[in-house]
Amino acid sequence: MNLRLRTPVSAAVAIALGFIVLTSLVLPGLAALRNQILNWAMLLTAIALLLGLENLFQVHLQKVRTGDKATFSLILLVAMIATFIVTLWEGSQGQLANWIFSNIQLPVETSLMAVLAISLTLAAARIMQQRKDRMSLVFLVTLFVLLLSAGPLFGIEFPMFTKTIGPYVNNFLSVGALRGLLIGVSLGTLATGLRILLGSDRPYGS
Amino acid sequence: MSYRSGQDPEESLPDWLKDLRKRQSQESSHSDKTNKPHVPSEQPNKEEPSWLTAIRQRYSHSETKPEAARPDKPEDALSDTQPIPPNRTTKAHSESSEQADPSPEPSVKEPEIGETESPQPPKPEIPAWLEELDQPESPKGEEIEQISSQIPAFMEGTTEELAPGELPSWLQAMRPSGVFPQEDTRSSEMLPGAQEAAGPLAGLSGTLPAEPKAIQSIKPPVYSTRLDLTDSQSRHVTALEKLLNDEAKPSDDRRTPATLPARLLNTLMGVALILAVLFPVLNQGQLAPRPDLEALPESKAIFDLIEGLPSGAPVLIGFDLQPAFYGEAKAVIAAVLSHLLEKQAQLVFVSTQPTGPVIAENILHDELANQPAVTASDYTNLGYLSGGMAALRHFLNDPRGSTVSLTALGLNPWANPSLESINGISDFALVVIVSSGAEDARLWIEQGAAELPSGLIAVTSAQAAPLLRPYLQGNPQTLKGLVSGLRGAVVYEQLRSQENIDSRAQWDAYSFGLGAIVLLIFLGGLYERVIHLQPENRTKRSPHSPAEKETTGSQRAD
Repeated sequence: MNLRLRTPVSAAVAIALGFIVLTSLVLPGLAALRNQILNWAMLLTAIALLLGLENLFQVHLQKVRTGDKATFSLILLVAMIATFIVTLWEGSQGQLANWIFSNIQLPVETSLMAVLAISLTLAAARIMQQRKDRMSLVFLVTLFVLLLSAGPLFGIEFPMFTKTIGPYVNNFLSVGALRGLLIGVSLGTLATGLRILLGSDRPYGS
Repeated sequence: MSYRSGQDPEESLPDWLKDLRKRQSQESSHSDKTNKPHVPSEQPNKEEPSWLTAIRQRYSHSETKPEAARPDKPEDALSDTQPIPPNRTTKAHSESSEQADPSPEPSVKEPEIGETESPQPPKPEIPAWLEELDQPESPKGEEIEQISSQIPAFMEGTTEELAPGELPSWLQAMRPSGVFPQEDTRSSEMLPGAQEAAGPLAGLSGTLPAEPKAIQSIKPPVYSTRLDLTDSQSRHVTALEKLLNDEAKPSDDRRTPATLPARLLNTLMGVALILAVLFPVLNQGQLAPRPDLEALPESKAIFDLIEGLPSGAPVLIGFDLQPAFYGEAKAVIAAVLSHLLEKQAQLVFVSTQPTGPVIAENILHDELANQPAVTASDYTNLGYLSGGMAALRHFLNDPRGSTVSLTALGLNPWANPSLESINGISDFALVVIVSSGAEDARLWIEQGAAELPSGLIAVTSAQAAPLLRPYLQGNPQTLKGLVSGLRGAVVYEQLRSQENIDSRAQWDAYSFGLGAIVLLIFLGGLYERVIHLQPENRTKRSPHSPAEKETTGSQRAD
């Protein structure tokens, strides 16, 4: 099937399935068909995950062949193959698979998050050197207010921040801004859905 | 025209022509004496034969005769320009066709070698004998008129009598009647003014063209595909192209190494943070006061919901925690799950993150290993639900029909007697979302809040709490309760009148770490503002100071 034929067919399939799922929300008789379509989507997502894994394998295999940072790519390939085989053999709840996750992946990711806290502290301390404008000053003042209201500092609590200013910022200023943000996200989602249903936007390929 | 050598061409002429030439020569000699026209210098060559000299002289005389016979009246001189009447043209044509001229035409003169050209171009000459033949009425002219009178269509009206745009009578007779529309006053405006060039209407103006311009095939113009860009547009294009190319390239890992004071400062700040966190953990003095219970009413709402659950109630837990937030969220998750397990709730775990089921198992076995339900594995972990939002929508519609990792292995988790009553999502007594980010919790709220009569509660990390507050404060309230971060864990333990040693130590470390962060940011900003920028202030006061020169020189060197 050439490209000229494939594009209208894929668009027609996507639009038809979108309309079926959308109308099934108001027509109870189409619930079974909707569930079947969503089940297909779940299986396709799982297959896409495998394709992503295969792509990652190919990229790093190519790096090993060309010698571009081959050491790191080789470590990644070995770890990937070992974890995949172990998990495939005894399942995700197996003893060895659980050990790999609990003693390698979990500490590494948690440590990266701890390093991120230190990095953000350094960046905030240097913000007046990098950007000496009014917005930097506003950011720095807001940061101080929220940090002081997050809890006691060195065991000393500041009630003005923890009981007055902090709750006001969290319950009024922050909520107001985030409601506007969520309305914008909802409108954007609605527009994106309409564009896909009308065929003007084709994220599945042009 | 060729002559035989040694033969005089004059001898071969007929007698009547010889008499005619003789009379012409006499007339020319007479005119020479009277007018004396300019004769080109054609002196007879001594080497030429006598007969050729005689012919040359005779022709020279004949050339001067039209000038001598030029009419005096200008009307007669311009008579050649007047249109020739048809009868006269036909008559002359018939005469010339009937009389085959046997004599050589003297008007056509071939150039001869050694002849000097006259300054004026030679004019077409009509011999005198031909003019004489043309003057009297030919006896055959009557016959020609009779023949021409037999063609009335051409003779009834001349072209001078027809007005432009009118058809002759003979052509009108050929015209089909009633076919063409009547002309209106717009014809002259609508029709082209050019005359018809071909067809039966050739020469007429104001007619419809035989080939309208609309159907004439015109070669389409060829437009150039090259864009004419100004310099400014070219610069913008180059900048945009560079931006897109740089976006595709990976970032350069080679960074400029920090100077020694900067590296020392970074190291000191990191060490200060670590020491601030380690101090309360090693001291175990419970230095930081616990937060007020009234500060987090949303945590109290969760506590009340769980307290109201009947024993053995099925509770669905959407476990979407990522490994990086395990250390922070572990305490608050353990606090809520322990409360549920104490209420003997039937826990069912499902996750839209691949690592979610493993983290749930870790928390259950690390933090809640003393709970009887965990020891007896009296809970259900459905596993990973692939497919994101679509899969979540399907799971909320039909939990038993969804494909999760446990069902993919061939097991049937719904065969558990405690889950026999679960046919839909509304059959769960409570749905708890355990999430590290706001996006995962938002999916659960937007997809499932309308179908859950008991509502949703969320247990999250501290970073997700501000983004979920709009759902918590909305009307209708789509999120019934929220407990987040280490502060939420401490508050929840206070609500349960319990105090976990680990969470207490974490709270103290959190307090000292928070203080260290505020202090470092304050000192860092003070250093950058006061100490590091002092040279700049001095240079502003004295623009031509040596310090400015040094700074400028170093910048140039860089």
